[in-house]
Amino acid sequence: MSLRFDLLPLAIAEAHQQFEVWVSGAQDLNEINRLKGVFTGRKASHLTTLTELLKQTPKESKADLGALINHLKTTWETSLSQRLEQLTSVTSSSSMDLTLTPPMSPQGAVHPIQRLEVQIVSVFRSLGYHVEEGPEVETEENNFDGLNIAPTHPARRSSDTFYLEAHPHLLLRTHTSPVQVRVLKRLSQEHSQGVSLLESLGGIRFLSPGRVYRKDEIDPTHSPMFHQVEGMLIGKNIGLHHLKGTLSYAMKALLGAETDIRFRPGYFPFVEPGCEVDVKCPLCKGQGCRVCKSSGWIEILGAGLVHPQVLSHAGIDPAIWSGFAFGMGIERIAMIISECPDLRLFFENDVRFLQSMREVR
Amino acid sequence: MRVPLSVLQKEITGRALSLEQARQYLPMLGFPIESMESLSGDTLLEIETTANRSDVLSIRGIARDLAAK
Repeated sequence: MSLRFDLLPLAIAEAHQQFEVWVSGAQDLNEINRLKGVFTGRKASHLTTLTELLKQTPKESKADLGALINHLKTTWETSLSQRLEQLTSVTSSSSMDLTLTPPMSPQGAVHPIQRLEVQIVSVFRSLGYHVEEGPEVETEENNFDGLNIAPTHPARRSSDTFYLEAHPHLLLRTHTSPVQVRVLKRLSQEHSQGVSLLESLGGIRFLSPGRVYRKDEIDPTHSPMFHQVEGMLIGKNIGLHHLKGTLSYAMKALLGAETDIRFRPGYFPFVEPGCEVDVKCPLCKGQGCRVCKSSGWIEILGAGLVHPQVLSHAGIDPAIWSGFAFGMGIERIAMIISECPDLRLFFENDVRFLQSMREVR
Repeated sequence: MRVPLSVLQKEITGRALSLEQARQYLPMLGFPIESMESLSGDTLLEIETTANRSDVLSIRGIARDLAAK
């Protein structure tokens, strides 16, 4: 900008006029900052131009015009900072929307394994079962001896079972069956007026869900810790038909009304006869798919009639009492219904995986 | 346990046993088929047995269970 010195008063008036228009029109902080640069900046601003002009002004008017420019400078600076203050106070008071919903923190959810456990338990609750629990550190007697598992059975080896170093007869339970041993013992040992608890109850039915431990290498289908739900019913004249009716109902309630089950002979030392229970594949409805390996059936339960040895070990007379028992792995069922190929995902607790499991029934 | 189908068929007298029947009956008798393998015109069945059934630790024992089916 080049102005003749005699035009300085006019230039001052024009600059100030321009300043007033722009500042009152400024709507945000960025604009104020820009105006600060344009009018009072140290380089190429209106102020520097006016100061340059002042140098060419004759001596007699220099003092007056100099004072005017100085006055202009302070006026601009104060009015800029006033406008700035005005803008920020307006911003903070008018932009607050008190009706706006505050940001919510992410909501937690029940773990898929626990949710399935609750589902299984609630199905059996409707059949009159209650929940019995036991310690995860068990005696060898409850975990093996009481369940008719021979002293030489391979599952007892220290390569398969976690034994406590300081107490060699204590171990981490390898199934939830020792809970059943505990309950049976209690039923036969507790008496009132000469009648055993079992006799006065006339029988019992219960579930024992919980964590179990085996020395397995971690891979997509094995984990040293997993969850089981076992169930037991003791009464008089209990047979396989009771077992089949119970499981048939429970699997329909759990996996859908069209679910079918079938029994195959199997072997567990604590039941006789023992069986494996297959469920008609809930994904392909028995047509054959990847999950059921094109057989249409998936093995999900082990079951049988309680072995007389198990009853008599607990002090119950197998000539009077009989019953059935069944057990299932919760992770296994969860993997089947969610088509999850890797067991480990359930324990890594990656939020993305857990959220994807929410949509699975 | 590995069992050739031809020997099973020879052991079961009085009726025929097809591969399809063997695949269907064995698992329902409590002996799941782990794998199958074709070997010079015969089929080799890898059969899983349980610890309480030492009577089926022979081909004849398995044939006897199958024959009852």
